[in-house]
This record gives sequence, C-alpha cells and structure tokens, in this order.
Amino acid sequence: MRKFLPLIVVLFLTGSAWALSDISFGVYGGLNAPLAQEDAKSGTGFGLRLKVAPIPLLAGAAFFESRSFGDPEVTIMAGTPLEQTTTSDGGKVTVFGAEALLGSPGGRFGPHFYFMAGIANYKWKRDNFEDLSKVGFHIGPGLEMVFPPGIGVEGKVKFEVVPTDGGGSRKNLLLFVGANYHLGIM
Amino acid sequence: MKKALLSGLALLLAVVIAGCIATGTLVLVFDLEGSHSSPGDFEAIDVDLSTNKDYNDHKDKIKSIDAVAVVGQISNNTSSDVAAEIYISDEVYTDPQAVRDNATIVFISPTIPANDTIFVDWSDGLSHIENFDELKAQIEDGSFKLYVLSSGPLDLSYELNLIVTMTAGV
Repeated sequence: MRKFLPLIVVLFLTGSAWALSDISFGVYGGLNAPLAQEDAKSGTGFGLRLKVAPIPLLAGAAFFESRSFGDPEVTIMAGTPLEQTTTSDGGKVTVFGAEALLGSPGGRFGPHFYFMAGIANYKWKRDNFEDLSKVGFHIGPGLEMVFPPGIGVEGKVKFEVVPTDGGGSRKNLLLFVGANYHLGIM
Repeated sequence: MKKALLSGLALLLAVVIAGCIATGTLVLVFDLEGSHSSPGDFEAIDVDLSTNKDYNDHKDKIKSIDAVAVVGQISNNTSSDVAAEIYISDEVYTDPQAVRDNATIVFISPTIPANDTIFVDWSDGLSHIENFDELKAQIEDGSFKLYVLSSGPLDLSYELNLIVTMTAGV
C-alpha cells in the first residue's frame, strides 16, 4: 500500500491542479421569460461564456447573450364591434456581462453544483419604443456534469433584475441548458 | 465604525433592491369617449383615468410612464386626404383654432385618404405619438381633455382607445 502512496498523492494533486486552473468555453440556449411585465412575452435566447476557475471554490466568467421576447398582446375596443387583439414588438436584448461562480465550478469529471452572481450591460431594442440600455444584475444556481474528455453538460437558472429610471425595474427568469468544453490544466 | 458603515450600506442596498424588485410593468387600455369631430360638432373628450380600476390601484405608486399609443379606427368623411391630430390640454376650448393655439399636439395619424377609413394598431399608434413628455405628465396627473382635429377639412368619425404602458409599485 505504501508504495502506491506517492501515486495516490500525485493523482489527488493532479485533480486539484485541474480544478485550480480550469478554463472552459461554452454555448447555451433556452427560455427568456419576463416577470411582472405585461408589455413582453416569453421568448428564447442563446449565449456564449468563457469561464476561468483559479481556485476550487470560485470561478469567474464573461458572457454574451442574445435574447428575444415574444410580442405582447392587448385587447382593444372591448365590447364594441371593432373589438380585436393588437400586438407590439417584443424586441431583442443583447447582454454583455461578468459573473462569479461559487461552489464547485471547476472542470473535474463529475457533477458540479454552483451558485452565481453577476453584473451585465443590458440593451433592449423594440420597434417604436425607446431603447433601454442599463446595468442589470443576476443571481441563480447551476449544475454541470463533466464527462471525459472534458465535455460538460450544464443547466442553469438566472433571476435577472434591471433597474430602470424612476425606481422601477425589469425582471426576467432565464432557463438555459448548454455544453462546455474544458481546456483543463493550463 | 467601519462595521457600522458597511452594515448601513448593506441595509440601504437591500432597501433599494427590494423597492426596485417590488414593481411591475402594466399595460392599461382606456376608452376615449367621443365619435365625431366637425366644425359644427366639435367638443373635448374628457379623460379621467381614475375610472380605470388598475390605474386607480397604482396611481400613487407610478414609477414611470413607459409608452403611450393611440389606437382605433378613424374615418375621413371629406373629399380631401387628411391626417387626424389629437391635442391635449386641461382647458376647455370651443373652436379648433383655440385648440391649435393653446393645446399640445400629442398624436398625428397616418394620412387618411378622402372618404376612407384607417385602423391604427398598437405598433402604429406608438410611432405616431408627439410631445411624449407632456403626454406622460398628463397621464401621471390622471385627468385631461383631448381634442380630435384634422390637418385639412374637419369631418372625422372615430372610435379610439389609449394604451398606456407604465411601471408601478405592486
């Protein structure tokens, strides 16, 4: 047993080293759901993320997301012969941001559960509406399962708040699934 | 001292975030009473938004008026192409010229061909709003008068709604 001890130590160190310096690149997509916003409906989105895990319990990531909202509907001329449903543009959102991941954000094989918090530049463009360009914040959990040779399948949930003028805010729930490629020890 | 300062900042941040999160964006539709404007049949549309329950429930918690659209059907009963114009004011005016001189124009419709009818939907209605700041102020106030005029000879029939998108505390 003793003669295997150095090998066991090396294996543990190798695993730690991987976790210490994992870099991964991922793509993801999913649901973009507005919360308490009658002027937008659920849409879809996709994103790209570069993640660096310098220590086992912490990672930092930069990301880009392109999302859309569904067109909102409203009934007008209610109760008259002209009653009908009319729509406006749900619009498109682009988000550039950074986030910190706490928990197990590294690249070793197996499951990794983490909690993230981030900040981002949020731009929402809709036809015939003023563009909304603000700083937004998000939090949420994520779970990634990493398989050999460093491919991870990930699901994550983000609750996003974008403060607006006048003390209000836009709030969205984002449900994403995606895949990451882990470059491993650098 | 440093600990107290940090605690205070954290508390302030929590209060700001809580206040910010406890808001929602509402889309409210108001019927604009009135159906005809001509030189001999011209009057103000009295708008009292507080008759709408949703508006009334949130009136004191309005954070922002985000968008306003005028939608509905407008008929041009003259033999000239015209655009409908809607003016806003708190005052009562009894002739079109007084309206033009004193009220604020807030909507100019697409051109309505002679003896024809157009329907302005939500998307179109948003793009034809003028003087949005004045309109926002009047909507926050909740009570105002609208006057429907024409860019040419005045003989219009209309059925209109006002769609207001606003963010308010919930």
